[in-house]
Amino acid sequence: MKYVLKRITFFIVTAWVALTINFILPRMMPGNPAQAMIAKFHGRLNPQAIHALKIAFGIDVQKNLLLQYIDYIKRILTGDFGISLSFFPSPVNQILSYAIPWTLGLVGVSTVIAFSIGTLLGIRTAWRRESTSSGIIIPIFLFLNSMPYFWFALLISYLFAFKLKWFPLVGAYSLNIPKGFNLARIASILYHAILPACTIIITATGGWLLTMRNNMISVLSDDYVAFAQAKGLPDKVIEYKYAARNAILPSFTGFAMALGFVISGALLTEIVFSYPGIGYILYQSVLNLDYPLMQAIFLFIMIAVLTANFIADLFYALLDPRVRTGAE
Amino acid sequence: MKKLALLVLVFSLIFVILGLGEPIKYGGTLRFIGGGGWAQFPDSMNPLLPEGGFSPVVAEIYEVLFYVNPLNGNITDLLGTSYEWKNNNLELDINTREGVKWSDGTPFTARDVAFTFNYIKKYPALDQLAVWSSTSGLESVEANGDNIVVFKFSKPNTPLFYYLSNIPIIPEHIWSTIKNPVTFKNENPVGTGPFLFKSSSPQNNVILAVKNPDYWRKGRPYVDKLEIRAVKSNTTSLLMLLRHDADWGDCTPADPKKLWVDKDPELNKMWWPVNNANILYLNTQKTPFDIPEFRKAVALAIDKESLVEKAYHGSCGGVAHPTGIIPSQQNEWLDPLLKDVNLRYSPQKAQELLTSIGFKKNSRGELMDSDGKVLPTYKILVGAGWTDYITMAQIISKNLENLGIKTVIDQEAGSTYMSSIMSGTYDMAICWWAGEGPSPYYYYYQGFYPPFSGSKIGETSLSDYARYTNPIITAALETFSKTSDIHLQKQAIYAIERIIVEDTPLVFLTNRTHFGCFSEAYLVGWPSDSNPYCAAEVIDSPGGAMITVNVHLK
Repeated sequence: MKYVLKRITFFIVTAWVALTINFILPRMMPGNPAQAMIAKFHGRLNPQAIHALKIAFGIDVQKNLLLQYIDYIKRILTGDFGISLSFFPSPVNQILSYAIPWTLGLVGVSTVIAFSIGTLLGIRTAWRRESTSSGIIIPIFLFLNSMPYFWFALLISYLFAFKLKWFPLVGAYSLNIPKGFNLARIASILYHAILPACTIIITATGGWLLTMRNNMISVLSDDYVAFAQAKGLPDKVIEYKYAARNAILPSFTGFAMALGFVISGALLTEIVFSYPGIGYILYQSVLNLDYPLMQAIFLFIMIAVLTANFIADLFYALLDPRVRTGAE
Repeated sequence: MKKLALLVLVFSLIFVILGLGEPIKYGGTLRFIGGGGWAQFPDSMNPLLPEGGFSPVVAEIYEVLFYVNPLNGNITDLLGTSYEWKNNNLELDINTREGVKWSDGTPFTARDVAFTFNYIKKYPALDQLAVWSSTSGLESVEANGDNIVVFKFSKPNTPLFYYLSNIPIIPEHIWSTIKNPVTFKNENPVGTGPFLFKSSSPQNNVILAVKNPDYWRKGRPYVDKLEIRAVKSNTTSLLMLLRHDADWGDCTPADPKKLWVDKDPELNKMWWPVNNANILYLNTQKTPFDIPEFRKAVALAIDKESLVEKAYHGSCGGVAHPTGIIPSQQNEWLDPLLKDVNLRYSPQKAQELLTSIGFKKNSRGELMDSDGKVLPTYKILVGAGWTDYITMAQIISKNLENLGIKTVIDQEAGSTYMSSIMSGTYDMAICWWAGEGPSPYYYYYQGFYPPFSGSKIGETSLSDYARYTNPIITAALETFSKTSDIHLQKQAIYAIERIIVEDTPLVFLTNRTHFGCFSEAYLVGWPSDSNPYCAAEVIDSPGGAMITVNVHLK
């Protein structure tokens, strides 16, 4: 119980610090959103528009920083993040509601798949270290993992969408499908998600594979594994119940972190496949000094990461009695 | 203009009689693809927000009074049919079109026009072109009957016509009841334009519009539908054009000739007309940039041809003229005596100029000022990741090194970049002309008019980024704005050109263009050098709307 209380206090303090940094950092960047708008349009926008933009954005009156901070905390507590400046005059909540489902769907599912495949392969390749198949699998995934993602995604999109035309080039679903929730629409969404998801899964799997394999190898050399073998337990039982169960703990922490970061989106995937999501919106909001939007997204990322960690910590206590008792 | 129109009419009649004119095919969909800066469409359809601040389809739904082609000043009548300056240019009368209906059936009148202008006066956040600013002189806008709008001025300001004619007209019967027009999203837009809003999909970044069956211009538009899409990278927009998934793209491939036109010269067309210039701004409120000879030496030391080749693969419209006047306006506005002025790359001449003001190199090859002090290292400011600007800065840096001037390239994110330029904290910066318009006046006005300049470093300079003013230029700008006589206006512009050539307030590098990539796979009628009915603007502007009513099936 003491452990849980300690975790909760830690959670709250970290959240407050992160919130405050989230408020201060963007305001230390020079310039203002109106000037960012002029730069964004490379001269297309009449500079005279700056006056009008400042009034529209509400930045013509300088507000006291403390007042802004109070305002900010109030907004966070009420969940009303105000109006976005880079997508003026859409409310921040609406922009996020467009983007978050796509990010969760694409990046969340791909992360889970990549983790599952990577971990399974890690177990297998560690168990059968000497086999030729693991000799082939490891270098391939290592190569895919260390390839620049942007380049890889462009290549995939060029080959399979542009040249071979097997998959759509852009978008999240086809436009020619009636609105609403129906089978054709779901099929179209899945079809459009295949390429972006594949690029994420292919490049991310290698990381999980390597971590899992390394853990597994060190666990396999432990005495209790040798004992289990001596006892004559079936290989499958030793492989999964004895070795893998213990070896997965460090990977599990990493997985919790990765799930937390899912909400920050996959900027490069979104750019290459023009897929909707949070990554690009976050990028735009930072470029355009869109404080309300930026703060809301950072807040969500922060909450997601902290929560994922919190849950991982609790799970850890369940999985590993040493954590619970504080014993070495 | 009238003569030309008559000529065109006569010729088209001849063609029709001879049976050479094929009937224009109706139908089809015009598919626009935007990339890069366009990545996410705003979902507001409020036409009074700045360009880029509203959904791009707004330009096809709401019309302006006149479309003034910024390349050459040619005027296409839209909701206005004619205009006249009166009373020593203190009054502008605009006749509005009869028989036009809003898309909800209500007739359009001059009162809607007057309402629009008074509306943006009431809500300064909507006055994006600053027509009601203290410098504009506009005093009142009133309707005189159903078809005349009267603009009254406290001082003559004839160039304001361009800005006035560029404001989208909104229906009084709808907007008069809107409580907060600045955040009003106008989800059911009612306009007079050639297209009607159908639907949008923010997730896919696609907007669909259909032809307005009651559009006042009979027989237009030719196409039935409009599909406007944005993708998040330039590469993707180019791939979509190449795959014929789009007909018209605002995309900027590094080498458009090789990557777009050469792939299929029969169908793949590009028209990148020059509308602006890339300028090396020298901060004239810092020494030694306040010395005209020094600025000219910098201009002479830069190999502009090499900038065109290396930064733009030759597709930026060439080296900019030393007066900064864009090519399409040179015939009309460039002083014939200045036609051949050229600040051609000449490190030797640059060196001589520097010597003439007492700047010498020391034994280590570093340039010293007239007091014998070595010049510090200057920063060349560019936007972070703007590859064309970074390439130019690299070449400029090398060129200046030959003179003994040390520079480093300073890449800043958009907002920081703009803020340094406007507050005058930069040393050198690559940027564009802040103003654009149908005559050089608009460039010079934004570039040199004292109210838009900061008097000292740190004070905001709205558009005079070089922070350079000159009483002769100021007087010439005022002369220009007071008259509607083109001969007087030309003399005023000539006077400014002479100062610019003598004093080198700005170092002109290369031209800048609009980026029209057009595919003739399905549609024809795109603007081109031989048919410049607009300036290949993007679809979210009145110029872009011109394209939507001119293209048709092959």
